[in-house]
Amino acid sequence: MAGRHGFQAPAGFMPPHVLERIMSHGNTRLQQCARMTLQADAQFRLRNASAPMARPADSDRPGQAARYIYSAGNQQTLPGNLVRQEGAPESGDIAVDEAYQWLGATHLFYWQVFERDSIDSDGMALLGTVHYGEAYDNAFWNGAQMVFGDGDGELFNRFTAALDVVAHELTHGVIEREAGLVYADQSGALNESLADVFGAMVKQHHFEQNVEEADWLIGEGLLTDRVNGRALRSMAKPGTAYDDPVLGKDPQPGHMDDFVRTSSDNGGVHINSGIPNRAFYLAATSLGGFAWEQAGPVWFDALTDSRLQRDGDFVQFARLTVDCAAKRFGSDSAAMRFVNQAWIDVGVLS
Amino acid sequence: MTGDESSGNDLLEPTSVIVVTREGGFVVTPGLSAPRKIECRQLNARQRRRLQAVLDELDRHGGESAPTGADRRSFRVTLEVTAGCPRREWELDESAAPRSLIGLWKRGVEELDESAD
Ligand SMILES: [Zn+2]
Repeated sequence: MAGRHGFQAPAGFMPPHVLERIMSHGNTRLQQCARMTLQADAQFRLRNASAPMARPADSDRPGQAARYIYSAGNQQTLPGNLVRQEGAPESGDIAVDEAYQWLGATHLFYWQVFERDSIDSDGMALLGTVHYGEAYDNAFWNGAQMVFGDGDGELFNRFTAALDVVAHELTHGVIEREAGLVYADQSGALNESLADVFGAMVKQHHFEQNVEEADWLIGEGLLTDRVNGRALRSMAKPGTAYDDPVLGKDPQPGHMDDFVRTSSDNGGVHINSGIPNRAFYLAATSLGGFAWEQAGPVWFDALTDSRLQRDGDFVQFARLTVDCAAKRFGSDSAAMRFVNQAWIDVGVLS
Repeated sequence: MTGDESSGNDLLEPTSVIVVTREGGFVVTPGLSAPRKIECRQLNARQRRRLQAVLDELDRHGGESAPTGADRRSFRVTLEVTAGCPRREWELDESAAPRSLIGLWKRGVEELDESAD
């Protein structure tokens, strides 16, 4: 089991899943190859487990963030050089300062709304690296820290430009510590959806937007003017965020009837997340007010519920939210009814 | 590197097709997930030798990547002999992907002309 801040392989390890699938379905030669790779991965993890990297100090004051922002200087080495840490003034580097500000906004959201103190609920240091790689069109969570690319400038702007993207990555850390949802197929799409749901809520919380005022877009501002699109995903209308000659058309479904079966993207984790995303949008907008007042706590309760299994699917999660809504707001509450209805409307429950 | 880089353990045949895709990441779009296909029968001997060298390098990198976390990108390379039927498959986290593979994904056959001998 991973230590409190250990850097052992977290739950939801991507390649073994893929490799295990080959082991059970592939031909003999593929299976032999997969077996060797699995063994090598196991050794790699063992090495990693015995030599955890040095980490800067966690926060020792409840509710106080401990942020450390690094620059990779356009290399791909992590974490890079420390540029700004908690309490230090603005650096003048916009990506550094955005990462600092948005990690702070995300930490504040989790603390104020859920009394959760950082990723591990115990003041864990928040590490973010910017200027990762050259013209790098991605942001990710590596099990220990958040990483942001500058974007290529042609299609994508820098990934720190959008608060919900930063909050999305930090939330992957929370999900890993809580449900540990396996990053493949439906549990992986749930993992992705929860990162979007909390990412969107952090943005709404920071800008004090109610459910009507919110745009329910993920990554708004990330696409350059040259791209025909508003954002990377739409929670309100999955599949409508962009339609562009280079990027293609937003492939997200918003209903189980359109669930996408694919082997790529770990079984379409960034694609089928549109379905639970829309369920959250429907529940939150039916309930009105601020999303973090009713729908948000229900989703948070479900995420942190010990009954949520690592390989939990949409139905398991949906039932859990209905149960959590009943526990928190009452079994004849609007919250319970609207949450249930939202999952019916996206075809997960019947 | 000088001379013939192939390992003597050639995987390529005239009918081989190499498919390279980049998968995952925070941004998954159909356009950027499109596979890059390279058909051996369209390559000259020199290009084929270099393609073999790329595959040899993949073998050397095999198992080094253990991408943890979320929104990581990876490269998937399949070697097909008859279309749609993979004979070999490699999957590598992008941080473990050799430069030559990234070049192959970006530039296709051009990469096999550009790379230094
Ligand atoms: Zn994600």
